[in-house]
Amino acid sequence: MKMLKRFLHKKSIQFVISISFTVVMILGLLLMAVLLSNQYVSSMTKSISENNKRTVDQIDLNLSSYLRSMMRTSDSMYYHVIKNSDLKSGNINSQMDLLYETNRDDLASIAVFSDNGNVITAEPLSGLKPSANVKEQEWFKSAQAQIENLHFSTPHVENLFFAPDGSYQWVISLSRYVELTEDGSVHPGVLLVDMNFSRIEQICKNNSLNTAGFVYITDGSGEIIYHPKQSLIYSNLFHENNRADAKHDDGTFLETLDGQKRLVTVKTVGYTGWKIIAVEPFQDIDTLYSHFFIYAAFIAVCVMLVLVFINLFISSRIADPIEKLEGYMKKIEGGDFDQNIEVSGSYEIEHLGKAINSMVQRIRKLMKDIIEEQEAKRRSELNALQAQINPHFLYNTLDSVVWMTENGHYKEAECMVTSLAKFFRISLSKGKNIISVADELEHARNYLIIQSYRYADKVHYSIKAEPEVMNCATIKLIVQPLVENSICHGMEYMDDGKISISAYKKGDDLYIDVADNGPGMPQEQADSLLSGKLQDTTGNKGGSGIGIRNIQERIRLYFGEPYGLSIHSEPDVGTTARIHLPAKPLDDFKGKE
Amino acid sequence: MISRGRSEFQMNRKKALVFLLLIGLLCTTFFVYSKLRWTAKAKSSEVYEISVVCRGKDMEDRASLKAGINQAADDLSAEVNYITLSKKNDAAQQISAMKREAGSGANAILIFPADSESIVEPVHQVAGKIPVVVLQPYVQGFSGICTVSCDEFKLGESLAQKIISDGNAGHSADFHIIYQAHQSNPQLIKGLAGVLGKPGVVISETELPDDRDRAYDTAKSILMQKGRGNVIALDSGSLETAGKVKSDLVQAGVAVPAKIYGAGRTDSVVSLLENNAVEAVGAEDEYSLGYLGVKMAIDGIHKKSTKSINVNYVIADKTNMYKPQNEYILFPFLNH
Repeated sequence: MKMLKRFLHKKSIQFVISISFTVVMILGLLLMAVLLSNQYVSSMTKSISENNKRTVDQIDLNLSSYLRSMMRTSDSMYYHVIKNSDLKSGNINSQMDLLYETNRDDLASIAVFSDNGNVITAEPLSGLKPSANVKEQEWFKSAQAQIENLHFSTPHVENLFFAPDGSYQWVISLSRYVELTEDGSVHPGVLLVDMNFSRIEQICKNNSLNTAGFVYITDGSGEIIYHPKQSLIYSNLFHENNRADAKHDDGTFLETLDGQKRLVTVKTVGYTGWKIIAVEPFQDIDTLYSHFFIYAAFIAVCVMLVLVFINLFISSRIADPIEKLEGYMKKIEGGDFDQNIEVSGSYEIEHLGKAINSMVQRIRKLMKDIIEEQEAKRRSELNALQAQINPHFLYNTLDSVVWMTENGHYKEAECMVTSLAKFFRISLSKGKNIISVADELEHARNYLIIQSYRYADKVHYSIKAEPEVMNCATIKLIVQPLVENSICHGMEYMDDGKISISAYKKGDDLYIDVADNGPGMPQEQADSLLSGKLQDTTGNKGGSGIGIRNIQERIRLYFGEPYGLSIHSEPDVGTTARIHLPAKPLDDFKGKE
Repeated sequence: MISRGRSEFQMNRKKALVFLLLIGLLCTTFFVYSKLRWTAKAKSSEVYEISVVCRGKDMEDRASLKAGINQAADDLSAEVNYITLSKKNDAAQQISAMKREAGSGANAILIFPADSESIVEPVHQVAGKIPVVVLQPYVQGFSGICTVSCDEFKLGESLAQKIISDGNAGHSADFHIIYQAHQSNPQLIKGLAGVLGKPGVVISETELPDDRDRAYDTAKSILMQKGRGNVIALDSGSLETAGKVKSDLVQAGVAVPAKIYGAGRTDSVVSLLENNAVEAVGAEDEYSLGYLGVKMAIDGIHKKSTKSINVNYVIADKTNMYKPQNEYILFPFLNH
């Protein structure tokens, strides 16, 4: 049970529903098939058994009637002829002749013998064979041994009298002890009535058993009286279970002979003790059963298929919406909240889907709120930063302009004021955060122009950009802080500082590099600037890296990973700050801010 | 949503197709099964046509054998067609009849071959096309062909032993073997001679003529021959003739010292046995012979391996002829 639970634990709901329904269905069908089969076999057996019984009863009726008529003939012969006649008178012959003629279809012969085996009279009249030894005949001995009974022999060839046509006839002898009167004195004798065996054959042949079924008769000890395959039995070409069958009481039972099952019905014939035995080979029932079983199996498999199909349909109707929900949930788990969950199915599942949908919408709204909040926070930080920088920068610039005017450098002052004006114009950019690369580079250029006047040719710069990147979109004010960092941390104490800015495109990506030949720094320190782990222990001004991280966060906020800022630096060689942005035209962002 | 709907529809259509295919497969299987069953039923209820090519004009004196054949035909779904000859033991006619039956659609042939070597080759030829079962062959050479007969050699030996046990085989005993025209039985003679053939013993043979009257006269002359000891008939026909001659002579008050023995069974032979005209007979189980002949033929049709079979025989005299073990062979139980 535990193993089953463990097995089913990892399986899909459709699998569990399908397998459960299928197992229950197959078990039900199997149970039904077994019950039906048993019922079928039982009713078939009962029907055949009843048919056997009817047949046996019918044969018993006919046989008893025949035997009774023979016994009546014997009684008539004894009580009406022999008892009322004196052998000397001779009229016994005429009366016996009459009796014989009346029953000649059923009779082979009638004869009366004296106690020492001599023939007293016989019908039809024919000579006793010289070889006939009457006293040695079984029927004669039986009659003398049990004088009160009638005795039926087993079939044998009539061997006492010459047949008029020279033929030999199979008979069953009915013998009895009689008292003969001769000259008034009574002598013992034996009356013999030989019954035509063919008559018994006729009675048994007419039966209503199936083709392979048959009826046979034995005496009480199992000796065969009649069998449809009597000759084959005598020739050892067929075996019968006569001895065992004759021991059974009346009724029906199953037996196996030579590996074949048979249904046997036994009935005892009154007075004679003979057994009428109907045999129905079970092979017929087995054949019927196997055909029934195959038809039943075919129907069962068809029903099973239909049910499996219905089962799959129902389980998929239940499981599909759940699996669909699970799919949505997996996507949501992966951070994709742009799902519009459309769930059909049962009421419960639909309700669940709606609830999840509502939950996702709320999460989406919350996340949007958080992003907006974060953006606002960043913007305020940036504004604060800009607010911090700009007065200082403005003071220095204006101070330089004053100095230039006082010394008569009107042209340089004009140029510086013009650059300052452009610088602030781009800084404002009508409040937009996304501007073109051209504007961003122009902004950096203006800054550099101003700074180059201030640092009196200590700073040299170059700006290069591929023409196709000029109209690409970039976040405002991300190049100038990098340039400012280069000047503040690299150029201030150098006589020949160089800053080069280059913008180029690689595939779908836009890169803006700001490189200087300043003192540089170890790469670990450069990485720390971006990760925010840098602790300003040197006492350098402005070394906390807030500006750098601000640029990184702003890029990621707008464009996500893998975009952002990277810094490559080597001590005494210089530093390159690389901005990585998607190369998207500025037009794509129009109206979105 | 539209594409999902379409894929669901395609999925359902696929399932329905698989379902229909399975149902179709089942129905086909069931149809094939029903067809096979019907074929098997038709095959099991098929009636085989078996031609029995006789050795003579009829089989009236072979009631027991015929009953065996008919019983087997009943039990094993066969229809038997008896082909008789216009002339007894005519090998040419028998060959022609056998080939005609084989060519006219008989499923198998049972043949009582004529006493002629010429029958052997044609039997082999026909056996190459349809099963042939040879019953009671008088000639050798049927190796590879299924034969059903009694062991004639042993029957001869048993009959000879009976003659000896009756005290009729003294030092200078005379044995005269008679048989119907063309019905010499070499194996039977061999069996007899093997036991009886001792120094001083004379064994002679006579073939009785076809004509009944002439056969009677020939038998009479043999029996009346002075010093005649024993006459041994190899077949029921010659045994009947010899027994009838003796019976007639005895009834006419003529003493016939010759003892008659023989092989074969008819009601007349049994009657002659009972009336002391014949001393003892060797009778084979003709019922089994006929039954097994048909059974072997049908086994041959079913391509089952068949082997030659010997049926039982009994040696009966007047004293034991009504014993149950002899009774069923001497007085066939003809319930068919």
